[in-house]
This record gives sequence, structure tokens and C-alpha cells, in this order.
Amino acid sequence: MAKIVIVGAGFAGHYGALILQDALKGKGDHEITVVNRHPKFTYIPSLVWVGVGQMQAEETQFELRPVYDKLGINLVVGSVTEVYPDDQKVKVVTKNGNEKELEYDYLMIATGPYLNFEATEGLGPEKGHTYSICSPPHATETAAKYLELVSRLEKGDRAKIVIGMGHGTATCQGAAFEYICNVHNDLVDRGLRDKVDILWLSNEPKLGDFGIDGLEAKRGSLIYTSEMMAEALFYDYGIDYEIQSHVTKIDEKKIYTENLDGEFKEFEYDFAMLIPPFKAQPIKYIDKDGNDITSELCNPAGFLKVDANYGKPYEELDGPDWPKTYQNPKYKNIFAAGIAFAPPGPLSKPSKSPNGTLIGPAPPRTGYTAELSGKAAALNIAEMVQGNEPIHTASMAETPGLCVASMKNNVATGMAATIAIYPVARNYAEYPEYGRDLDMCAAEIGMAGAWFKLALHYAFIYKLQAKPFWKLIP
Amino acid sequence: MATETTTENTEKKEIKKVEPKFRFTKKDKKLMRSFPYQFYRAIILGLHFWKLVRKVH
Repeated sequence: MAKIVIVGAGFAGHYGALILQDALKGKGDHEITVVNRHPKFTYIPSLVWVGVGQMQAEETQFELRPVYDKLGINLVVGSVTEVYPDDQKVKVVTKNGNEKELEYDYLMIATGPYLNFEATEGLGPEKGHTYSICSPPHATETAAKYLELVSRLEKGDRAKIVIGMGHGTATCQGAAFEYICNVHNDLVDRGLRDKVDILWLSNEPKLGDFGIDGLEAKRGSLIYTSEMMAEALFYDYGIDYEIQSHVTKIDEKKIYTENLDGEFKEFEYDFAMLIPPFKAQPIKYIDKDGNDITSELCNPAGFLKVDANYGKPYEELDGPDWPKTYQNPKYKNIFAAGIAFAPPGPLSKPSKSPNGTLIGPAPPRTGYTAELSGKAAALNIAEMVQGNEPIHTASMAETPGLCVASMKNNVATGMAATIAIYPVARNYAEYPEYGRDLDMCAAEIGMAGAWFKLALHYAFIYKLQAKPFWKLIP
Repeated sequence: MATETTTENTEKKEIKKVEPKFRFTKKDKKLMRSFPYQFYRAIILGLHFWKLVRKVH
């Protein structure tokens, strides 16, 4: 009997648990335990609608325990604080503060990110002055503050809104892009848009980069880029933008930035939603002698190293350097998936300002990419449980990125950008011209995207509750 | 490429207002909201997504 512990129940961890349970069904009496800080799964992509008050946070969530009870998976609500890879056990601090140890034969780290608001002075809703849509409580609070601003606008006030990235190395530009478009369209519908100046503030090297080095798609004879799409859209929406910017500090009235030209700027704001940079959840790795080996197993941000080629400069990094099986090279029974694995480098070109400040998005590996890495890691664990080698791969340089960026949530008048890239990480070894197969890439704005976005919300929440025929939904 | 200075704030800020290289035409915008055309695009894009998804599932 094998004991498998999965840390985290987001896209990678929860989907990995479902896949693993299914793969090991009828193949012995194995024990799968999921450790998660919350008793609920959250469908993060819909939090953008929560943040504008168009959806309740509860509509993006479901309880994990009934799903796991149905499938025979154990759930421990708590945080893993220490991993003992030689002794094959983890220390868990449960929600009520008790400590317990869980033994494992195989471990999957799929914790998602720690939202590092501390990286920028004044960032974040708890100790700072800005808001976030990265978690259900944050998105709910953001909606309340946004609606407060709306009522002030209705009384005749004017306002400045800043949306984007709260640090030079932050990622998940797509979420902020969705939020700025939803805020714009919501204000248009309320007849208040002319009372608001909206600014996109981002660390992207170019507009429409989204942390994935942008995208190209064929549009007739034209090679249409995400930069062209974002520029045209912001022009039509009347949204100003400041890119290549690192937020250095935020106070009650102003956001202070430094850009790649070394200029220091200040922007007044009345309402700001800025995505924080990510780092790993605080987990220590302790060897059999009691030594802290976290820095050996993880990258400086704390993400667990897997089967990638680390240490190459951005210019030399290519498709084959991205991880495939998500197995840790030292401890073969440990895997990492989703945000929790250490990428070999960024997807977007990183740069430094003349003052030496690093400005460049970290690579996003959320949503569908997280799910695919969670699935590969789970299937590899299932192989190892049966005495085989890990053979399942989901390299970001061999898998597609599918994204539907909401701009307005309405079946009849909604709008979204439907984006497909293949592969996510440019793979010049395979596709010498663009690093991607442009026949497989698409970028299109329209009402169809709004239908997709809504359909995906319900389809994923259905699938991830392991309801009948869930496996048919990819 | 034009750059202009906005002066709405109490102090001067330079915010780039760049004429985009590409603009959505009136026809593009009409098609974005056309129910029959978007229904057709939903089928095409859905098939495209399915083709990509089949590479990994």
C-alpha cells in the first residue's frame, strides 16, 4: 500500500488528486491525502467578476470534503510547514493550530503562490492601500471598495483608477487585464466612464506581453500580435498605460514607480488593484541530520526544483529546458506542479533599469498549465506506485496555453479575448521562426469569448467536483 | 508615434498616448457583437480549442 500526500488543492493539486485516485482505482489499497489551507476549492479565473461585484465569491467555490469522501481521498485542512524528505514525512499545522505529522511514500507539492505583498511598501489590502483579486476575501473586499467608488462617482465625483502589477517581477498580467476591461465596461454601462481616468501600470516589456512574451496569430495575411490587440483595445477604451515599470512604494494618495529608462514617476489614484509578486508558500525542507536544505532543493523564491535545466541565461533558454515530468532530481518520490515548481527562467525578456532594478514578469503557470502539470505529476506517481518509471510529460514547451480573458460578463452583450497558444513556452528547437506553431495560435475578441468564459466556469466547477462523466471534460 | 503630456493631476505626469499600429475597424467591432457571426466563431474556436486539448488529453 502506498501513501501519497498532495499539498495544495488548487488546479494542480486538486485535479492531480482526482487523476491519481482514478489511475490507482482497482490497483491496490492506496491512501491519498490532500492537505489544503482551506476546506474549499476556488475557481480563481472567475474572481475577476467577484472583484467588480458581478458575482459572489461563493459561486466560485465548492466544499472539497464531500468530493473527497465520495472518492475515498483524505482531506486535512491545514498548512504544511516542514518536509522531511529522508524520513518521508511532512509536518502539518492544522487550522486550529495543532501540529501533526503525515508519512508519505510519494509527495506532490502543489501549494499555489504566497501573495508577496510585503515586496512593495504599501501594497495590498491588509497592510497597504491597494486591492487584489487573487483570493475570494480579497476579491470580495475589492468589489466593496469599487462599489463605494461607484457611489461617489454617481454623486458627481471624478476619480483616477490604477490597475496592473504591484512589483517589477509580478506575474498574472492576464488577470489584471481582465479586471481593467471589466471595470471599464462596468463604468460604461453605469454611464460613469467619463468621470474616471484609468491607467494600466505594468512591468511588461511591451503591451500585451502578459508574461508569456506576447503572442502572434494569423489574421488573413497579417501576423497579428497581442501587442497590436492590446494597443487597439486600450486606445478604443481610452485607457492610458505605463509599462516597463516597477512599483517602488505606495502611499494613501500616490503610487511611485521606476521604469526601465531609470525614470522615477508618481501617479495619483483613488482606487488601485495591483497584483502582487508571487513566492512559494513557506515550507522548509529538513534532511535526516536536521539541516535545512531548502536552498538546495528550491530556487531563491522557494519554488521546488524539478527536471528542468536551471541556470541558463534568458537568451539561451529554449523549449527542451522546460520540465517534463515534474519530478525532483534529488528525491525521486517528490513532485511539484502548478505555481509550486521552479521554472528554469522567465518567458518574457527580463531587463534591468540603469539603477539595477530588475523589471520583467515571472512566468505564469496558473490555470490550464497548472492543471496539466498536476495531471502529469499525478500520473507519474501512479506509474511509480506500480513499479514503473515516470513517463508522463506536460512540458510548457509542448503543451498549449488556453485563455479566455473576460472583458464584460454578459451572455447578450459580453465580450472576451479568446487566446490559444501552442506551445506556452517558445520552443525554437521545434518551431525556429516564432518558437510557436502559428497555425495553432489564435487571438480573437468577441461575444463568443464571453460565452466560452461562462461555459468554462460551469464546466470546470462541474468537472472538479468529480460529477458523472467528469473525465470527458478536458 | 506621438507622445503627449497630460496635466490633469496636480503635478505634471507624462503618460504615453500612442497611436496604435493597428485599429479595430467599424466592421471588426460590428462583427464582435454580431450574434450569427459570433455563433459561427464559437464553433470554429471551439474546434480549435478541442484540437489543442486533444494534444494533451
